[in-house]
Amino acid sequence: MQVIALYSNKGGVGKTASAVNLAYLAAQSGYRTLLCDLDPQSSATFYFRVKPKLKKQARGLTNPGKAIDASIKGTDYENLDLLPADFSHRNLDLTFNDAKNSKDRLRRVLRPLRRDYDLVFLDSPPTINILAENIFRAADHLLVPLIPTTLSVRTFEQLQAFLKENRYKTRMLHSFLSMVDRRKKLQREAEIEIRNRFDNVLTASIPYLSLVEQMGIMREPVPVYAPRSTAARGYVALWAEVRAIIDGDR
Amino acid sequence: MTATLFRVFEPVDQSVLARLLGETFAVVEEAGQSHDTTYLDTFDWRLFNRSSALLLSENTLTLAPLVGSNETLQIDVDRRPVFSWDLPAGPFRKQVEGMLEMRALLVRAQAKTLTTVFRALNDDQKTVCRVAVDAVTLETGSDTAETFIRLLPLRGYDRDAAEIADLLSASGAIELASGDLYFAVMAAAGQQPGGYQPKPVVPLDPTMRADAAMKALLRAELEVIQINEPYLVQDIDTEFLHDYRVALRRARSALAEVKGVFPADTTRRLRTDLQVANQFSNELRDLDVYLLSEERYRAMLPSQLRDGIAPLFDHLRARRAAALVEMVEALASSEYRRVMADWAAFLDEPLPSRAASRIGSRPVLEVASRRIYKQVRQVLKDGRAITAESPDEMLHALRIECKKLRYLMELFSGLYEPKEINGLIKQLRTLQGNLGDFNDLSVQEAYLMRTAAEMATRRQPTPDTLMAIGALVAALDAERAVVRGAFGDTFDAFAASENRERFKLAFGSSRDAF
Ligand SMILES: Nc1ncnc2c1ncn2[C@@H]1O[C@H](COP(=O)(O)OP(=O)(O)OP(=O)(O)O)[C@@H](O)[C@H]1O
Ligand SMILES: [Mg+2]
Repeated sequence: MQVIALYSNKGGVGKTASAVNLAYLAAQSGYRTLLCDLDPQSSATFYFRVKPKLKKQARGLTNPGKAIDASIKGTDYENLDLLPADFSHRNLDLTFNDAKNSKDRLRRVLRPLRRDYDLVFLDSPPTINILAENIFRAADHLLVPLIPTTLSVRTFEQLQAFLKENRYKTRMLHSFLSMVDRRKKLQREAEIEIRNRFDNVLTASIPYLSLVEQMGIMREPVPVYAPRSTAARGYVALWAEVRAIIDGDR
Repeated sequence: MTATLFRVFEPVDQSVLARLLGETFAVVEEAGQSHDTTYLDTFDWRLFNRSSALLLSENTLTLAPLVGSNETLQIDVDRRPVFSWDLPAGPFRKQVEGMLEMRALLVRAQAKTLTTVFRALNDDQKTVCRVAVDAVTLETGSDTAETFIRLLPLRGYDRDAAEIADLLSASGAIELASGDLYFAVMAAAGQQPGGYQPKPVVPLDPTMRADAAMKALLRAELEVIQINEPYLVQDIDTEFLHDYRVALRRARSALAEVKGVFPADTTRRLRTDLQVANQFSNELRDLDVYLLSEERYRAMLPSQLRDGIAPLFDHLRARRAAALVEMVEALASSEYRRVMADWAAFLDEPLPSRAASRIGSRPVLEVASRRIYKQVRQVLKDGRAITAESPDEMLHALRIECKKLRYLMELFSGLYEPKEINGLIKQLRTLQGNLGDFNDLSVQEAYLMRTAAEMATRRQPTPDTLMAIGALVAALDAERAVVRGAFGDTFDAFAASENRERFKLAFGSSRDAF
């Protein structure tokens, strides 16, 4: 089982859109895949038409293995399951730095699933708090969507510095360009700067297209409702590169 | 748990399914596919007897439990496997191997299935369950299909699956257990899973005349012989011959060991005949046993000598091919035909209104118990006489006495309480295991030495081959010493007083009747 986190401390950069589409494509390729919605906004959960549960609070992490098992939902697609947002909301409660080992919580919660899934995608909210560290420890790879702007360069450098300082393997860090609008001159320049400065930027990039936004209406991954679109092809190319990375790992 | 298999009595398409689900869920069609399924099992139903079904569909081989909650295993194969060693190494093969041993997989039934998968959607248009409709054509050539519905619940949506199951039941679908489809297919194919018994237990009335009972027992053995005989020529696996020979020997042993039931000359004639029939396949069976041990022999050798042994097995394989031809010819011979016809005719003869002898007219329970108990005492006596220094011949002689006892107990097992008799047979089997191993090892050593000499006169075996055979003999001999050393304790366990008591209780009491 390998864990891939879509991560960025910035909001609205395409984390959820790419997590959903990559997870779908991985499942289609035969990987037994789980998408974990770690964002209380629960957009990924919404995209898969899974109703958020508003029921009584579960007992927390007394038996995380059992709790997670009971919370996982099958999606409409073969090989693809979802851990809805309410699970992490209730059971991970990672906003407080209470327990001593709280940086390892997510990793421990996922461990019982290692025989059930080949791949786990984490869709995270924009965060730099203790949840971020949980994600770094749980993930084998971090995948950071970068919108081509100079601001992105700065924040990505900060992230790299943080990981280095805290002794994470820098090999685990990857980025790709997201919501790319090549009609904009500033974006074209920023893209060049990003590609020159960092050596972990994947070749595939996701263009800015309204078809992607329609995911909110269609509530399906892009390749399902627009299989031959430029947007779908972008995600397919991105998945091919991600797949090469994880297969190279094994 | 929710039932997941149903039978319905009409063809099911999207609108019918929507109706069956009472319009509670929206139904959309996802995929359709037609495939042939081949059901595999051994001749003696080894998989079925362990509650397993083995199915080949396209390239996928599925090992499914017929009852219980064992896991279903699947692998992909390029062609239909015949032996467990045709499967790729891994957990699947390990599981199958343990059940099949050396037996071949036969096609027991075939079904053509047209599967359509539907998705049931809730109000959010979210899929909550997949519903597979299987139109199964059971008989070859028939165009009527039976319709089955399988629920494929989605993780986390058990409640919806349960609701769908309830809706199906309410609309008249019949809930099935997971094995039911298997039984339906088998019935349509005219197969009777588990229907073959290599060692038939004939139910006997204890008060029945002994000669009548013996005929019933012999008839059951003849049936086993006749069932296996046609397969001997086809050489599918080694066990057809094995079962065939065991039945022959059991019959012969019954005639030899329960003397005086039939007229003496009849008994003598039949015994000789059966002996002759058995001889036709002696060599083939011996070679089968060696060839089945190939892997074990190789493993006994130091790795430098493992390749050296290959010419020995090539030699044995060549001899086996010849032995098979000889046996096939012998089975087609008029002598063999006469022997079998004679035997069948004897069994078909009506019983004389008065038995030919005093023993023949006694109730079978008396005759059987008396004979078995006498044999128990013989085994105990011979075994007690054996010390660590006793010559090998004494162990071989004891082995023969044990074998007679085993045949007698199995033959007449229908007369006794199954749990009791099977427990006693198990005790005996442990002792026989030790004696049998000892004998096999002795015979194998001698055979290997002979074969080495034979190979040396015919062609030039390389030094490697001769060294490998020598090493093998040494390894077998070391094992033989270990087995010999274990005899004392094995026998003492068998002859322990509580065991003797059990034998006495089961067979000893009716002696008073004589
Ligand atoms: N390639 C794209 N082209 C056009 N719109 C996009 C694209 N990718 C994402 N969007 C839209 O942009 C918005 C934000 O995207 P998304 O939710 O994937 O980002 P996020 O990083 O997960 O955001 P958050 O930090 O709020 O979780 C959504 O409305 C989404 O539909
Ligand atoms: Mg998001």
